[in-house]
Amino acid sequence: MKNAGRCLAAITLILLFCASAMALEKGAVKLASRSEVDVVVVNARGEKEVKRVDAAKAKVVPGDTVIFTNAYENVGGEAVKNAVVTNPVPEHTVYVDKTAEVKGARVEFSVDGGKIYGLAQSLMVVGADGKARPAEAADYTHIRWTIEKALAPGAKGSVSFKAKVK
Amino acid sequence: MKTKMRLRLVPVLLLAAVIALMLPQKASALGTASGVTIANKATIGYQVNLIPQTAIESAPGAGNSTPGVGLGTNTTFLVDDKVSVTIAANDVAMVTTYPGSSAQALKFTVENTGNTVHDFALTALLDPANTFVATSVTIYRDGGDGVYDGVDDVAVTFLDEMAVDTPQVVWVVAAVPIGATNGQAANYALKAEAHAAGGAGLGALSAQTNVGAPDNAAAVDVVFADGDGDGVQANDANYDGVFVVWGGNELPDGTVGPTGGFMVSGALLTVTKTSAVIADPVLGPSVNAKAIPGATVEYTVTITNGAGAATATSVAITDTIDANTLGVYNAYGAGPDGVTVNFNGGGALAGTSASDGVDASGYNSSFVAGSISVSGITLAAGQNAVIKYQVTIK
Repeated sequence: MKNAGRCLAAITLILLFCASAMALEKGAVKLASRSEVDVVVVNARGEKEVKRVDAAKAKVVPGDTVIFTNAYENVGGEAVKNAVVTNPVPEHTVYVDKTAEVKGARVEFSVDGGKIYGLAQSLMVVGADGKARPAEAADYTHIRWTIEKALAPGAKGSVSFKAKVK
Repeated sequence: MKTKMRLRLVPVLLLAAVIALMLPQKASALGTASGVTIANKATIGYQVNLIPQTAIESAPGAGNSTPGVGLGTNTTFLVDDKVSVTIAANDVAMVTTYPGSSAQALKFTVENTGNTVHDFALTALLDPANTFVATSVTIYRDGGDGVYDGVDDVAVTFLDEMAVDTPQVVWVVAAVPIGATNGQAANYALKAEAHAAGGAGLGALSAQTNVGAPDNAAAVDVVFADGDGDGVQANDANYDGVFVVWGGNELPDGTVGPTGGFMVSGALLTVTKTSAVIADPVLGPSVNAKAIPGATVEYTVTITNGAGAATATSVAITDTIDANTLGVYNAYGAGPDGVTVNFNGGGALAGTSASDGVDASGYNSSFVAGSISVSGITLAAGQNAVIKYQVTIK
């Protein structure tokens, strides 16, 4: 029994080493995330125009809508298939309905912290009255995009959604 | 024993877990507090040659391509200070007040609808269209009973440390000058100006930071998000951190008028005095009697309270007779019945004194030593009292 225990421990250790060694290598995909807000600015000609600026460099208060964008790029030498981008709806924000849809990706949501994903119309939650009801945008905890096409080396794309600051 | 206990505990714990999962998530009415960091991190999973690869987490800027949990970086921003107040004027109609009164109040409710604790300086603004000017205006903070009764109301010039989403009732009390007359009105607005919170006392006036400039990413900026919603009052320019709401019925077209606020309800008393010679030594009692020495003259004093006026209570009248005349102290009967009071056409009452036992009118009259006095009259709007007494010419 004791020997078996030691053996297991050793294997676990080796696996851990392997994992950390792998982690140091670059993957085939680069993922960059940004949060932005649309602000109305007056341009040089005195006209009002909407400008999208970094949320960290804009005044953001409750009720404001923030645009979260995840840009992906195949930085490897092989085609990437079945790329799946997952983004939890950030804490203190509420997902704005129908803002995650994008051409070329299947959008699914989770209402249980990312355990189960489904299409928007298929999700149910337990309402305040204890009965099941269709999930609303405010119930979503996670968003998942499944990129339909393979990404050739160098190919880029992005997925985004909007969320309101609570 | 111990094993049995454990066996029983397991189902109980399981049940608790299920209930916790089923509890609906309570949406907070509060906005996200200023200073909170909102962080976002996405993950991408993918396959190369149909072999699933280790997922990669996102990073801001140029991004991240190092696979593994915890190797990405959050994309963050800071929630700024949203300065917002709602002021509700709670009186749906004019508040009736009276000359000389300071017991009536306009009710307002102030609520911090921003995301940060602030102090709010309060000012009562007088509508320029007022028709009376109060001798003093004081703002009181209600202690929680929702009634202006002086019991738990504290005079204030600011609301200290106003927490978010906690309505506070505030009273605007105007001391009406004694000379104010029926129908005069004055509308007041309540103005709230945001100041910084922190400790007792009014903090520094809040000012927007980085106006027209990029956000200070590392600090909480102050953003004015004001306006009482209609944006029509001159004092209510948007985004100045000053919140103004007029009492009563604020006119929607932006003009101000005494449609809300205080309305003075005063008595409209008119007193008229007439005299008629009712007898002279030559003709005796006659409508043609002349005002010669020895003639009897009847005086009629009429007190009228106008239509729409407030009820006047404790109306009293005194009249000193001319030195060239003598009072007829028993003109309407024996004893002290020198005066009659005819209340609102109800018939003349002689000897009107609550103490004389003759009637139960409640009026108290006397006619002694050349002076008449009548007191205890209550006149509602439109009512009158006619007082008569007689003298003889010396």
